[in-house]
Amino acid sequence: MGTLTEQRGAAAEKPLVRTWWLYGIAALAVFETWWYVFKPIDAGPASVFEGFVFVALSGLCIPVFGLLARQFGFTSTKPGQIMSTLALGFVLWCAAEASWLVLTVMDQITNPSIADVFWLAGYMMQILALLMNVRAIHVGFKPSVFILWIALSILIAVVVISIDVAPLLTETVGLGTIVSMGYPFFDTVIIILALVIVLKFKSGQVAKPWAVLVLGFLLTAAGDVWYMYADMMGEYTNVYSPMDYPLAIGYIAFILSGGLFIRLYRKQRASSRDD
Amino acid sequence: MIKGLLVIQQGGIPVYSFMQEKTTDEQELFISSFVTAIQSFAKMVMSREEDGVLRVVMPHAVFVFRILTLHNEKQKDVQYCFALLADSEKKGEDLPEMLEYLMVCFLAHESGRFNKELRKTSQDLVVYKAFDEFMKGFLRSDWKTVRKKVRPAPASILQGILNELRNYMPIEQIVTLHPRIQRLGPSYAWLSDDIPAGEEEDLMKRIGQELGQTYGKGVYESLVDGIRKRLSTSSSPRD
Repeated sequence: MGTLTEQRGAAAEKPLVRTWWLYGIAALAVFETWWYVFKPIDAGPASVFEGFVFVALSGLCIPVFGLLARQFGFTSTKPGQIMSTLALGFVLWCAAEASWLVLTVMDQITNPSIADVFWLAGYMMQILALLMNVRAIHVGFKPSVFILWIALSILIAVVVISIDVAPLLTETVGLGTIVSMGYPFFDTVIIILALVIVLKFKSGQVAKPWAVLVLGFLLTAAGDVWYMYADMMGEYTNVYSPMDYPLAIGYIAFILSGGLFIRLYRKQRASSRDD
Repeated sequence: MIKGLLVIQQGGIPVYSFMQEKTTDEQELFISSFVTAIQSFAKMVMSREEDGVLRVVMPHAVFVFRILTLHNEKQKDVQYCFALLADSEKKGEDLPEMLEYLMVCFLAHESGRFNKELRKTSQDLVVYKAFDEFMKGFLRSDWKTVRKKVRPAPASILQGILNELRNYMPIEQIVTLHPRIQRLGPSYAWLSDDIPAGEEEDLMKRIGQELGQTYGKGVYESLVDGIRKRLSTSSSPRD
């Protein structure tokens, strides 16, 4: 019997662990970059097409994280609960993207809209999943790492508040303003919780998929903060907006992260069978 | 609402039964017909060697089964049918998940004594009566709280590791670690046999390697430390 490492190497060469999907994800990222740089079609159809792409990207996250949740027995284990909650968050974000697309096509965009309800509910699910993850595997932080996390968290909160919340305070407070303030608040919480994951999963094979997932959350939060600012300044257009690019790449990062998790556990299972 | 738990040996002999207190004649009739039905059903299922959690839905009751194969000293298969009875399936009450939880608690009860007795095909039914107190506590408690707060007591270091692995690896991966590991339900696994000390050491070393590679250094060690601390504690839902 060979060593575990040798057997892992043999398992990795098996067709089970194919990499075609990685090329597909890379192609999606290249396409999105090309789309926002070269603006290939007229604004009217482009706006609808962009909406479809966002629905498709958020929709793709659902089966990926659903499959992961299934591998861990859905709600019967902690990782299953985390992945199920993430999948539910993506269901809500997909519903938000779909309702935003319908509102765009019908030219009925209001503030707030039904899409905001789905987006904010999705945020709550994602925050819940990240909180569960923080509690799931106990890894003690060194005091220096803890101080770094606190300092970064305060810095991010100050930056987000000064960009997105402070200008809102000068407006007449209505339902639209309150809903709008929900986004930077949730973005800040997501970034702070995502930082915990980066500091927690620094080693081991799970570090990579978690890092990609965190990247997805950071891109989503950054795109959102940028969108809020551009919207307040009246600079946001519903097509080819540069602030939509990090949101699209964020979704692609979520799909990649889920795929990497699935591949990791499949590889390990194949390796265990070979032993 | 959960009504009871039944453990039946090959041939339909019940070795353990716990039914919630009967209050009316109607309930008594209902439970006695359930026991008769489940005995014949268990015999049929065991002869077919069916795997996985099976569910039978009747007009006013639902019961879930799981066949567990253990090995006696002569390495012969000994089959048991674990059945959980409920009068209906409430929202939030996942019966297969509850059944596997009760199976782990039953097998690990009194530091794995029940597991040993079952493998010996002990006919001394009084032994298992010690589980009644656990069942009473379980039925009094809210399932959501139990699954969240009360982890089954480990019967041994290795079994304790297997119980905890559900939060680190998919069950499909856990069962590939050793041919004697069998799946109980959606997430728990059980060793069907005592394995030689050397083999057990190798298995634990391998689990340590897998966890180290996946989650980094120190995760396996802290897991084992936690199990060592818990080995002497009770797992009653009343705790």
